[in-house]
Amino acid sequence: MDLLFRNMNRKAPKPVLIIVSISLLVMNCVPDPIPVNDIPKLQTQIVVSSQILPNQSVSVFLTKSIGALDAGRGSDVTELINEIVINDAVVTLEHDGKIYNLGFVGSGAYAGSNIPLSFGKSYTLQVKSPAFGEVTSTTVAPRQVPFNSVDASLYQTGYDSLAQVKYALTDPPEKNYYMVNVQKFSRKQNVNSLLNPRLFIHLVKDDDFNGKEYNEEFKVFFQKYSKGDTVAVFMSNISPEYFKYLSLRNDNRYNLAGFASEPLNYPTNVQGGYGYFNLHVPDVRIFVME
Amino acid sequence: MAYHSIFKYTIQNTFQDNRLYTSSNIDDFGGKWILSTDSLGGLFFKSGVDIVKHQVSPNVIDTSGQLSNLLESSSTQPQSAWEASTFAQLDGNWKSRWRWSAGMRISSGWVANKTYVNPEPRLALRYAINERTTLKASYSRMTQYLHRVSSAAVAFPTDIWYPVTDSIQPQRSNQYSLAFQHTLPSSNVFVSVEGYYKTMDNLIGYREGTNLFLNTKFESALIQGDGRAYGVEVLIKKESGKLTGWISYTLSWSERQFAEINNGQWYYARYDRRHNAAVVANYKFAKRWSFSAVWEFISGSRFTPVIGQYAVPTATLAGVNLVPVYAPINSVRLADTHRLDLGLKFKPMHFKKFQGEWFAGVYNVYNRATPIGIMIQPNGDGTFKYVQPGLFGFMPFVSYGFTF
Repeated sequence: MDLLFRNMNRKAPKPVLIIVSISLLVMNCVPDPIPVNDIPKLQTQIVVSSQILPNQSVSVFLTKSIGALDAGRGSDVTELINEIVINDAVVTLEHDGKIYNLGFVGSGAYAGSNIPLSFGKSYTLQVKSPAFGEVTSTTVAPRQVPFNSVDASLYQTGYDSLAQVKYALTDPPEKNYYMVNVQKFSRKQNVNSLLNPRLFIHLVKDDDFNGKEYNEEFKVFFQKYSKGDTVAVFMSNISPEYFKYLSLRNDNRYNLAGFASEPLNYPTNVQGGYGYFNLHVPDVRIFVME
Repeated sequence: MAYHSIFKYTIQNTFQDNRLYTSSNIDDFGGKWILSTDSLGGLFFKSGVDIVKHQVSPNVIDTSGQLSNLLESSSTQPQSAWEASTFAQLDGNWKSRWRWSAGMRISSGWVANKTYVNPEPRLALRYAINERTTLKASYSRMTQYLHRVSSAAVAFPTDIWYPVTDSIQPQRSNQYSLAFQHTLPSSNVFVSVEGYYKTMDNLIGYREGTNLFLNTKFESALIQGDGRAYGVEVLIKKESGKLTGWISYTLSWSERQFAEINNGQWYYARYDRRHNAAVVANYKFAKRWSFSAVWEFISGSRFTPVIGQYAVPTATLAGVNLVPVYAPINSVRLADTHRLDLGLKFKPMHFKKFQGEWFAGVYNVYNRATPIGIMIQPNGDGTFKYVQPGLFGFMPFVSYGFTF
């Protein structure tokens, strides 16, 4: 060993080495995040969702709101649902002066059959929970509009294999708002993909075809489709308020990082709570991709 | 004087047969002419005209390939706006203790189907109590025809500029101020205390929930509202001797009101930063050497974090979506920002016409982050935490400046 370090400066450091060294120095100087304190806590409220089942019975799903840190990407959906469902509520639906009880059927779900659905008429839901309080919500049942025809097929882009949907409907004379959903079902469905799934929602207003026949073709992105896949295409004539809510949700579909849009608390038709109470009746068609 | 300035940024991505091109640019063509004279019986007169054409293409998005089915090309067209103004200002003295300055600027903005005309009066008065102490009062109205649109969600470096249009009105402000100024007799230390109150209308912002990323319907996302700001500024300044510098402190409030935000109620602006203090010192310890230190403290800006969420089944009952719930707008303060910068200046021997100066130092000596927002991050064990990432850490620098 040369203890006099006489040969140390034989070669000048290469520019690349200098650049890398400076880059490392600068990267090491990225400041540590600052701890976060004093974030206000959200008051727990009742969340309402609803669905008309194929036998025309009305079902309502009740959960409670949670804190921002209580769940997120990668959370166990089953565990989450078990934690947030509300099982102690009394749920009633008032229509045309009559009150119908929706019975508890398990895991936050309440259902009532033999409730007449009169399109264009008003329905008021009332939920009373000893633990979480009381909420009400009123909606108008939109007319069901079925597909005249619908077809789903594979669409090869040369890079991806997408689904392509063609459909036709006859628009009733009143103002209507449509939601078309495309859902792929698989035996190997990963339970974790059930949280924030990339459901394709296509929204259409009848501004340009009011009272006429309408047909359209669209492609479904963010999902890879293969021969033999089972695909369900849903179409619902929905309320204008729910259409606006879904439009806002669709506008923020690219907001993956959580800060690429202005803050917004989504609208709700639930007084004193969150979510949406709807009475639209979907038309569902199933396809096996060929 | 005639001028032409261009500001432009573009981002282009190509993937397979898809192409995404985004750009935002401003072209300004203008000219100004100023006349000034002091031969009006002891009065100083200044007047001029100014004309500029703004050609603005904000947030242009062009897509091709399959991507165009998902994201349509921008519907926001390039905007043109002419802005012209003329002004006259008269300065003078009254008796021995009063000085005054009065002026009027008439500004106008022309767009396709509309012309905006705004008078902008201004008046400043100064009363000398004695040789070292003065009182000042002023009023000014200003109008702005080109708007900077900033996000309330996060501080992006890509703020967008947007001109007046048929529906976007010019921004206006009225500012009132009162000041007390005094120079200490023994040390040439200057002390100033100034209070101000400012009202603003037609401020521009984004509608709640506006998607800031790839928004193809930009103008429909813009809203206009009011603002007010007020505060007190204190400045203590030493300009001579080996040690020079100043200490400043501002206590201020800034609020906004938009009909479409916060149910039309007043709320704190994103940059409502209550305390702003700075200590700046420069010590000349040798003929060619001096040392400088700057310490700055600013209260954190305001932010709207996600504080909760709720689960709703998807329309196909094949999953669950978590919908975020935000805190009231700008109700949470980010962490305070403070930093220390140190520098060393050396002036080498200068030649007849050429003067150079070396300046080396360290920015943000103790590496304190300047937070940009509050985000939620997984811990890796199924739990989550809030984080407050920041920019602008420790940064050494060397510079050389010269004049000739």
